[in-house]
Amino acid sequence: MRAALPRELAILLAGSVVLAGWSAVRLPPAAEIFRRPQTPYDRSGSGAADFRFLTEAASRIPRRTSVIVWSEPRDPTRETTLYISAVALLPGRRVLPAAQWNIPTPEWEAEAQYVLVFGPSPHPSPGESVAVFPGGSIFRRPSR
Amino acid sequence: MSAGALWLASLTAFPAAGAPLLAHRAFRGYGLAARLALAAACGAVAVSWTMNVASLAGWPWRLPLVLLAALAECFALRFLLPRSPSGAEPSFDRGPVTFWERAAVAVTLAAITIAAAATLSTSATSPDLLLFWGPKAGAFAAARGLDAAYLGDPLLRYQHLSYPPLVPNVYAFATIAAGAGRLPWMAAAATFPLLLAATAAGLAGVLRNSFSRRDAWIATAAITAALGLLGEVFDVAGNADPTLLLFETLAAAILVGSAGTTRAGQLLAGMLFAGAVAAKVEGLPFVAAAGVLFLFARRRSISWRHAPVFLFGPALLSLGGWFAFGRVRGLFRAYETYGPTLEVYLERLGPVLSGIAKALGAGGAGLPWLLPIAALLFARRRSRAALYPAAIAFILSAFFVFTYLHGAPDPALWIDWSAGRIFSIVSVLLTLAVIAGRARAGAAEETPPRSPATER
Repeated sequence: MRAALPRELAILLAGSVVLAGWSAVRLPPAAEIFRRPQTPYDRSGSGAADFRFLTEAASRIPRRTSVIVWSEPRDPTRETTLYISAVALLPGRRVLPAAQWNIPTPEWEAEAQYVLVFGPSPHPSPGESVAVFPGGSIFRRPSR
Repeated sequence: MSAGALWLASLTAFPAAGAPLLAHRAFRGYGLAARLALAAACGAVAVSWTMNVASLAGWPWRLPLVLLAALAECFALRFLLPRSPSGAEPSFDRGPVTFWERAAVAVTLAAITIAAAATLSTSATSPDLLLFWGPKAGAFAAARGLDAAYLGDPLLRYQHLSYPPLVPNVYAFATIAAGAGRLPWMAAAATFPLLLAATAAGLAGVLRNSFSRRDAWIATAAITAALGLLGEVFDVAGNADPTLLLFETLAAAILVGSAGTTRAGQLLAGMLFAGAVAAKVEGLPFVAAAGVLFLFARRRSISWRHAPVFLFGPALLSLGGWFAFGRVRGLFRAYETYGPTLEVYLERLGPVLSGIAKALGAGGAGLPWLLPIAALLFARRRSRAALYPAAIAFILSAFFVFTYLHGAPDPALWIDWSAGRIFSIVSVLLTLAVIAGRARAGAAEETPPRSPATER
């Protein structure tokens, strides 16, 4: 026969079952758990598309260059997020902000050698087209 | 082997670095799994501290030398411990594992597995990993040191230059060891279930040292399930919260029990305190509250010559190295603040409290906090020993509320994204209060720890 559990321990143990069950219920279907994710943010927040775009761009932009990331259409809130992600995902490049704290920072616009555009290609083009891929495009500015 | 797998494999360097200290027979009573987890924690503290000192001196990080220095530091710490009279194992709780104990172990393992599944499916990835923990680690790895130019870049101010460096250092260490040109993001996220498993292993061993096996394992299940759910809900995979919780939880578990009155227990808690202050800013109020309250609560059963030094010495060294680096490089002199300390907006108290309640409610309807509170209220046995962890929980909660009364004109968003994570330790402390309260009044002080190092 099982010895009875003191009340406080019973609450903790039963509670731990509930909490673990709650965690399990939040999981995606089993097949999706074992599917290789495209990005670490496929199911967290809204950063997956940015992550894919910037990872793809990282393979096409040389190191020790300067880069700025635009959204198309231009939106300082989006560009703030894109800047933060670009700093993380474009190591070895000098990433310049098109916006910070949701405020445009036009003073950096002319400094960048490369312009990454998230979304459709803008008109007029900010430079020579280097690559167009799902999610956006890369432009190189003529050297001054 | 992929860069991510190598990155994760290189984390084994941390238990190796901490092994010389945890191999001391004073810690034998914790069991192998707990000692491994504790060795990893102490090893990470020693490695990170060494990296700070190397950068302060202007020496580039060379991993074999960093590792050797950390090993030597942990070995040197052994000499602070008394020679143990014997290595005999204690005899209590050697009986067959009961149904309830099996159930507790099953829940613990299930919670860790679920956390791993959540991480694997990218359901728990922290935005802060991409925001600052990861980029800092990548910059440090590329520079082979704390990168003053990176930290001082005014464009990168949003990355909180004064935030303590243990997690970026550990990630940078693994990135260099893996030979990866950049941080493997999924591997960094995988630290969440690994740290949860280490917390559970360490906790079960540490609590068993002072409380019955049943109590220890049930508390471990409750804390692991709570931290697993909170980590999943509040997206902590890859950020510093699981690391901070490992250090805080294990330090509190040591000090709640009888090991807290021994030199070995105090030194170990001190090393974990050092990890807590070096992991996140919130580690500092935790260490201040847990350390000072411990000295007060155990004032009659500790050596006043050793206890304060063992408890706070490693943390002072840990923070000292970082702030010395900040000061010498002209980067910072202290942590950035959220407005002048005494500039408190008391009129915000109502919205702050309701915002916190709403944020905690998002974490399993607040059950991670409500369950231990209910257990405390309905407990048949409630000794004064419960007061110590409960008091830390109260002080930390008050401090967090005080912090939210500063700075931003509308702290709603700030509370929304941070309260669930920073209040996680309160859930842990309340559960420890339940277990501590079950001990006979004063029993935790009276019962000799399982380890033989009972000298004070």
